[in-house]
Amino acid sequence: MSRTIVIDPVTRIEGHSKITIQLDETGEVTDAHFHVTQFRGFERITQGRPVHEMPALMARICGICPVSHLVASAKAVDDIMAVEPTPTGADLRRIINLGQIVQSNALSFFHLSSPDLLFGFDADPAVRNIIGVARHNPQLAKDGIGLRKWGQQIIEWVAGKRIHPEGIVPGGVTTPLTAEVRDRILAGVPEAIAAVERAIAWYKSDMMRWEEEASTFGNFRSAFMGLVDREGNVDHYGGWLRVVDADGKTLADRIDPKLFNDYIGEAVEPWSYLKSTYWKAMGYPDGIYRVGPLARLNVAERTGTPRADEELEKFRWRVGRVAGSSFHYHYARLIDTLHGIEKIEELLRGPDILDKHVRSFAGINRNEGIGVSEAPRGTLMHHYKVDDDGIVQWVNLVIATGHNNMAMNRAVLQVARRHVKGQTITEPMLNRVEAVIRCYDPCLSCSTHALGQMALQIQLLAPDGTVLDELAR
Amino acid sequence: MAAARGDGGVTAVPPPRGPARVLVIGYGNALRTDDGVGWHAARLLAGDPRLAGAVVLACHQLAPELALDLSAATLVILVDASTAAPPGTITVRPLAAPGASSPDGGPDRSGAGSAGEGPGATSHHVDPQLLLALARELYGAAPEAIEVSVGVADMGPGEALTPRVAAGLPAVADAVARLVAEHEERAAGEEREPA
Repeated sequence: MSRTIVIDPVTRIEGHSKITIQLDETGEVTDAHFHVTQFRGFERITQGRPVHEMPALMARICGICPVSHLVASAKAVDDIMAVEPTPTGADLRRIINLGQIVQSNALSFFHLSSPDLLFGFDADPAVRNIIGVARHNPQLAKDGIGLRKWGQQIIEWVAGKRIHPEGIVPGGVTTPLTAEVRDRILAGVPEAIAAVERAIAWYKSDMMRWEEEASTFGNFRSAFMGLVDREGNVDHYGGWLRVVDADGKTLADRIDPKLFNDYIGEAVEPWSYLKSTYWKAMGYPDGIYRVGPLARLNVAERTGTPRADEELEKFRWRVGRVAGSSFHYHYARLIDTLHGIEKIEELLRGPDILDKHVRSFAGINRNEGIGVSEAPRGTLMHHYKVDDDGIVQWVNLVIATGHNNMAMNRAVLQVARRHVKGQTITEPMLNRVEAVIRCYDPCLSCSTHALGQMALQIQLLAPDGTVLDELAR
Repeated sequence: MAAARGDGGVTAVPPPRGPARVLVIGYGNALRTDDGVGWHAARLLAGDPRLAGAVVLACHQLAPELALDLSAATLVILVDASTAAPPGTITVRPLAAPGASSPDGGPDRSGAGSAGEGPGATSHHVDPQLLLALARELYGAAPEAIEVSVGVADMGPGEALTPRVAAGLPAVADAVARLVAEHEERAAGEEREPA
């Protein structure tokens, strides 16, 4: 008798989702889907609002990565105003963005994924959690807390507050940096670097035991996309879009991010509120690509900072020039974090970082604007249209987790086929299916940009899709 | 006062002594009407002279790094919304990290929160018990912890509290100030005790 297994809700990710696994009569997996069960609607509720409000409104999409939306939104409004922030204003935005990269990556690795990596997927769930990590490797847990706190403090000190800060505005930032704040942040750099390097050392010392797991953990051929600067280094704030294929061959390079619509399409499936983006040249659904820390390292020549580049060289020696297994997101996320810390230090030591000119001013000079940046989870696009008074008429958001939607589904199917077999369903099997999703560190609050309570639904489906039973809360 | 051992066991941690160090965390989503009552309460308490010397944090949600702040306190008061009580009702109850004794010396009957037990403590759902457990495991800290819950009427989209809940904010501040005063008095009394 065929069955559908439902994991609902998926634990230890941001937001709410459901996974359905379809078995045939012999107990073999025939299909699997990652459903995002939230509906939000920021693209609709912001219509009619003055465009200058958009950064503050868009930050409310998420309480974990609000800065990402602040940056992309502010850049979209910059475009509508036809202004460039001052160099210092842009660098302060970079610092705030990187502070979020550090804290968000720390949350993902240390708090969401480290229990699996420390105890193994087969461990008792009563131990395989953050308290278990605190008991068995307290340094690892403390380092995660320390990194997150430092990243949050950067956001608070430079942008005004930790969550939904108001310091990033159209044209730049609201407040120049003081020497006191600069030095306060710099004082935390050595320990932040030490913390992430301890984590990298721990991960590398143990990663061989995951070699077999990684080979079937979302390991498939896909393209990768990210922002790079003119030297081909990782760029979290500006630069050009670059896309490479699974062998590292360049599919597109030096693309103005504002032209992303020419290259990326969006598809809607009935079983999820999360849109699927695809590479137009390859069509849907073949145009699958990935974004985020793994993609950033796959598309760039280097990170551009010394310690991270040294680790990147070792990373590539171990997993290849273009790493295909989603398992390696964990390793890449640590290198991404190390680079972020180094880049923060580099920017803070810049000669003009204390300059008072941090904001450009202008009115409405265009009716359309696009802002693109790298969020912790990958490339983020905000696209707005306004009338001549600057009232928002239309909004489209293309979120990092949306870019990864097809990849997450592919990963779930692969892991389910490997580990879900026969008539006995075990918790470790189900946890591996969840764990492959966690590699992508999805933020479902962002990706469906919703507001309000989120219903959870469990459906038992027959092979022909008939709903056999349903539960909702 | 180390609490963690490599074998996963937990040693009971005695409550801290010495001068009172008070942390008040009011948390909630200020864009979801009464869900933000804790956040609004913290904003009110931050300027309250009765809490001079206390650290008051207004947070969107609880997050793991707050365990660091908890570890430096002798008293932690968490203010949050509750759907289990009539709007405006204030409920005060002690909290304990799982595995610890409850403040009356018996087994922990706080009943709420998983603090990591079970499949996955989520960053999106960090509860007070998890923070207390992290503070204990990582920093050997066991502050007195109290939850002040405020009954709410509406958790839908909105930036303002509903009238009854808004009208109850001064009473929330009074309740928190009373708890702080009692704690400071106890701490001062313990300091005066001969060694």
